[in-house]
Amino acid sequence: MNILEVKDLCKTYIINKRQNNVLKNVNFSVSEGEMVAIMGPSGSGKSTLLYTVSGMDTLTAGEVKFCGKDIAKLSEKELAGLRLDEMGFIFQQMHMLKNLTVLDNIILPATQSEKANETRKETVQRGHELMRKLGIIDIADNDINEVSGGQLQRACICRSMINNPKMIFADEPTGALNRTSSDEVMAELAKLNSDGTTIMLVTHDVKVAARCTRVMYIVDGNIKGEYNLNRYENESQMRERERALNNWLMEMGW
Amino acid sequence: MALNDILSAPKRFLSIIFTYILCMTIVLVLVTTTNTLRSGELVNIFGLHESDVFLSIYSEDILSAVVSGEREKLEGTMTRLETELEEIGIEGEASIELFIKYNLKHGDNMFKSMTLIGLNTTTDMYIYNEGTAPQNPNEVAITQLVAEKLDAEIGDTIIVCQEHGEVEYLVTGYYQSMNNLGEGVRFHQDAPVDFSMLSGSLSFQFDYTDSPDEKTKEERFKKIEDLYGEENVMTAGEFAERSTGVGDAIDAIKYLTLGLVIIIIMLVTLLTERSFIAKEQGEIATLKAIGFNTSSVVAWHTLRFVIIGVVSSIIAVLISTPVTNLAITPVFKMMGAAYGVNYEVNLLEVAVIYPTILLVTTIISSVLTSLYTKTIKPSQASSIE
Repeated sequence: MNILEVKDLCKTYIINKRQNNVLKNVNFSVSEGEMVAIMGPSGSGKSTLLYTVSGMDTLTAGEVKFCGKDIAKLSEKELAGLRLDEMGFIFQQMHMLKNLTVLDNIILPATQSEKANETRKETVQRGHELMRKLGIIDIADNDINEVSGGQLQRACICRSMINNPKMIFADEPTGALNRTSSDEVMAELAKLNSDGTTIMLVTHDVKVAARCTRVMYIVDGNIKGEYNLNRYENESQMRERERALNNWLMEMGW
Repeated sequence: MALNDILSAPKRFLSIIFTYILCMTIVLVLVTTTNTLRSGELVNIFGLHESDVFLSIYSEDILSAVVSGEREKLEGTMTRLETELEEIGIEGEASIELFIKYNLKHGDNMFKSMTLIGLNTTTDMYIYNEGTAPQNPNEVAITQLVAEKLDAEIGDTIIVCQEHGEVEYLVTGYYQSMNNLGEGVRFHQDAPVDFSMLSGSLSFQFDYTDSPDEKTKEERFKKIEDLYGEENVMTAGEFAERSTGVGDAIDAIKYLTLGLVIIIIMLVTLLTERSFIAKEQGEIATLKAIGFNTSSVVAWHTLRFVIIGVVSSIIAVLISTPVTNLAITPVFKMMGAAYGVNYEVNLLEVAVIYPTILLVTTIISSVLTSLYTKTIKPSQASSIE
């Protein structure tokens, strides 16, 4: 079943009265359980694509259906509700509210949502479970500036999962992390995906993309090619996957 | 979230809280001062007794009686007043305060002062701040100013240079009077005062003798106004206000200040909220990205100002009376109220109406300013450092 269907998507920005066509007639779909990476040179429209299909930015033309709902026809409130209940977001900059603890940041979307219909105690319990799953339970009561980048990004993953979303959107989730932390974060995302969460992410990192089941290469606002990787079963397959992906990207003009 | 923001970084909000408290307190001080200037209790600080009705009538009769010094004429006018009111079903007693200027001596000190004697009153009807009321015809109560000028205390004997010679009077107590900026001597009602030396009088005062309830008092007041004209009939508060002559002026200042304070609060709220939005763009964009809509963000930001506004209001209400005392009592003291004033604190105005006006101003400014967050898109969460 397709969670996301994109048809003839166009996005245009007007900057200093000049029209900038960032996305031009983009077509693709994402099935349930996939982990899709979007790669491409700088300025190719990767992040714009991610934000437009997730409803964080408006589309200029075309159609984006998320779980059958045309997001262009939703009001601001309905779109916010969709993002709250059905989508999760992870950003490169790991924005969190500095006056809340790590746990409070994680459960924040749940306090706003009526999806789970639970008490605060139950929400906190679920937050703890997620943190335990991602190995960061020890930092639950810490301030966000008392934790490492890797821990904070894993907290962002927990936050993105708290409302049991159908799909997670991640923009350069490892962009601000060192190699070790990147590997840890990607391992967690891969685990989530293997548990059934659909993920779409933007990345420059081949190692990150190699963990995905599909890679889309975008150039000048158009999807130039797609590469299917399927699932990997163990870490020893990673080197081969990276090599194969690298070769394909070189062919694409990377 | 809003409360958490304030508790986590209180320094950030201190300047706003301080501004709100200052603005609200200034308004509440003026409110209390205006109410005090219009309160019946102030009559006591003019050295008079508080009556149910004050009447500025029969001015020609009073003037002629004062000039001729005929006590009987004054008493006759009071009797006439009582009779006219009895005819419309209102029973009570009329009285009037008379002024005489005398030279006073004590030791080497000499001072010319206004003195008071009540017609159809007794000295125990007045308030004395120290000592007791004059009980005998040769006893007086004096104000602090007179005591200082004569260097006389309670228990001393002062000399009043009256028409028939120098007469000794025992000082039994102190009272305060804003008449003649604190100058005053009160004679016993039976003191040997020569009415031919009268220099003036105040309005007639009328007291009901049957202790009516408030509703009855209001009905009677209306009847008396119908009889003698609204402009000539006053409550104790109206009399006090007319006597100071500044009630309306202070009232006007109060409303002007309220207007200025509203503008200041709006500006402070607007500027502070804009600076918060500028600093928190990333957080706002992230909240929107994870599913908070604009109205949730507006509510969060506004709630901060509501909390600050409520806390500031409570503090302002609590400190307004002590601040009024600190700021305004010296002014009353300069006017002759040596022992200060009991301020008329109208709880409805001080604790509800004015704080609500300022709180509503805060909320409206905050809501309107925080609508600016509408321009922050969820996608900006990725581009803000």
